[in-house]
Amino acid sequence: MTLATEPTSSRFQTLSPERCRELLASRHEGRIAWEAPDGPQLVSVSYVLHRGAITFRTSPSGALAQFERPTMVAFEIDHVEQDADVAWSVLVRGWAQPVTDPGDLATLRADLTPVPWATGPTTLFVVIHERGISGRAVGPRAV
Amino acid sequence: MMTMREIRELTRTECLDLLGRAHLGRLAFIDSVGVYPIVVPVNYVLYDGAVVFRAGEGAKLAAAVRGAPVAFEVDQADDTDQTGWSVLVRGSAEVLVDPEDLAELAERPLQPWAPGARHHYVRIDPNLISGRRIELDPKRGVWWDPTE
Repeated sequence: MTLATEPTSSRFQTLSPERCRELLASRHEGRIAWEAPDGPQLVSVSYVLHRGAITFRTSPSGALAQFERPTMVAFEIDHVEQDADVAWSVLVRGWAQPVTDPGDLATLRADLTPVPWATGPTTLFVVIHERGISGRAVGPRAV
Repeated sequence: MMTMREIRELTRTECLDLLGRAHLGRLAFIDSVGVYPIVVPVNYVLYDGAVVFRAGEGAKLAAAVRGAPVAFEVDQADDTDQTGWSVLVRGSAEVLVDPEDLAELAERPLQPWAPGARHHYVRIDPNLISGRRIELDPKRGVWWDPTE
């Protein structure tokens, strides 16, 4: 058990919710996971923050059609520089559900490009209502 | 403005080939209470046709011990031919205990993503491997920007 003596855990940082939200705002690609009937699903999506909430646009077909009804999800973003020994990740937990407000839909239709592998009309706009946010970082410098 | 992009489903052989070239993926599983999904980045190797990563005494190991169903995703933008690919493995996690496997894996360059002791090796028994490759917009250095 010599590995247990590695002093590396001192480099572990917990990120504040505020820093997590800044990192969310600085990115536009993440992964969303949920429990499908046949086990966990995990899909990469492009997103924006709309009124502070993670929002993405897709087609109501395929795996993401799940979000036509409220679904408990985890949404993750990360950044890893293998060579620099720097990495961070942010995890948002919450409920994903369709955007229904006509004003929001009009804005999003104009501004939001669909996830790249959506097939067919991309009429489904999904928003994640956050129930928790956490983040952690590893490396020699502050994230 | 929307642009049409070609999307191509990948064969299992292509997926395994791509999995063998990368070393960072994301693991999704349901927490031990069975309520929330969790997603964490993990470094992995392809060993004997399966994804293998290291785990400490935390939630990942707990998921493996109970043989939990998991999803594991790897994606990459390929700048040389302006395409991106994504591979998804779905199956159940299991802790490797065979001394021969452990000895062979100890020789592999498999560093955990996060610091701390990671004494265990977890294998994903792949029930399903799927993948797709899409064209990238050459004007963008990354996969996409949804606001453009």
